Amino acid sequence: MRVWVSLFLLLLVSCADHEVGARTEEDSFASEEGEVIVAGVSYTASTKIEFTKLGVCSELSWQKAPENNKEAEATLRFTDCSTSTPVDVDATFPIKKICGCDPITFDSAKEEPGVYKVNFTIDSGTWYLGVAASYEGKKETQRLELEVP
Amino acid sequence: MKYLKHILIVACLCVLPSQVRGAACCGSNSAFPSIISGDDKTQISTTLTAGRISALAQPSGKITALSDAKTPETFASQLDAATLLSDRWQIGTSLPLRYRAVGDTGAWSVGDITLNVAYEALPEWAFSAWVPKGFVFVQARVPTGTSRFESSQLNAIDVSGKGFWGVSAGVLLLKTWGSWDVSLLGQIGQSFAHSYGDSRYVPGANLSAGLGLGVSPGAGSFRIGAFVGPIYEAPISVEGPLSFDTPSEMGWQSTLQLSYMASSTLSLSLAYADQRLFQSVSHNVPIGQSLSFVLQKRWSR
Repeated sequence: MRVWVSLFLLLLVSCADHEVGARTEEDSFASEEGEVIVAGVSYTASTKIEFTKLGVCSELSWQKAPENNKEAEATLRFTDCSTSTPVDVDATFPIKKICGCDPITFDSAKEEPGVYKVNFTIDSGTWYLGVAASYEGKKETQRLELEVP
Repeated sequence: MKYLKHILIVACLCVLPSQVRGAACCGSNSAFPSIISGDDKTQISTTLTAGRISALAQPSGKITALSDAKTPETFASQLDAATLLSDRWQIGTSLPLRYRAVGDTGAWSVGDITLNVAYEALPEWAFSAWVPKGFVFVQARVPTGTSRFESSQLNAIDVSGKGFWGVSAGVLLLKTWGSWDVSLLGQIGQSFAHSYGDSRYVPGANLSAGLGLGVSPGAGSFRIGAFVGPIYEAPISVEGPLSFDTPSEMGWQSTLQLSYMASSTLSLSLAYADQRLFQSVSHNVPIGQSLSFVLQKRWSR
């Protein structure tokens, strides 16, 4: 009996001894075409988003990249896709974590026609940042995926 | 008398896994019901749990270890009670209270209260070498806790509940052979849609199962046991300005427990739960460890 109990305990203890995998910091980069942005401290590049239904383009540039529990700041400029001239688009920015959770803080403001500034604080993980745009009676929502280390 | 002792000590088995399971995880509390499996009329258990989350199993399955600054620590207490309504029918409830902290910031919160009704479908009225004692049960979850969809504090330290009303049904089978005992538990549930802010959340089904094995050396007052089992939660559809499905969740509970029957109506248990054991087959769940102390008082029929 003692042998069986010892073996049983030994099996459990040895199984429980597995180490958690080491954290790997991913290098920061910006995807020029895709929706996924792996955010990081050194992230400075911008992302282009095309609203095909509206016929307008936009460019999202970061002043402060998303970091865990730190304020991020970005500017979104809407332009005509062919002439690159500013276009006065109305926009809102729904944001959710992949679990369905809300950000710690979020604020957006229209700086000038077609130019929006967004400030938010999120924690690490995968987030969806929506850009819901309205222009000349048409509506279109695009979604960016932010991977925050 | 020795046989009676063993039955009583095995009765602790039904209480332990439920509380231990919920300890490390952020939003979930006991999914398994409080059931009287021995020859008692009423039982009350109180559980104190200290736990920490050391890593996250990402939706992709990748394990990300948390730094000390991000490691949530949990201190939880739970009161479980069950009483017989008749020879074979019983009701039970679980009332969880939780303190969760990350670094210097912490918050107390009430978890989701559960209520359950169980029926002893397979009573052990006659000796059988193989037929187990069996219960079927129905459980309701009341979303009294703060869900992750309404969390207002940094690192979601105030999250203590699922955020949905829910019902589930399950089966618990118990069998003893001499000093050894085996338990098998299966449960399927469904939560109900709820709106938070400008979004509506439509949850899917959830499944959980568990296999327990224990031994009372020399048929004495001590029992050493282990319990392992998967917990699966289907994706939640988020409908609103931003519509998407959350990834499914797959976690495993694995618990090692030591129980001591101080008297025929009082038992003590110490349990260690470690979700690292099956982290390689987990996804979209926190990976934690916890230590629980359970005190159970029973009143005989």
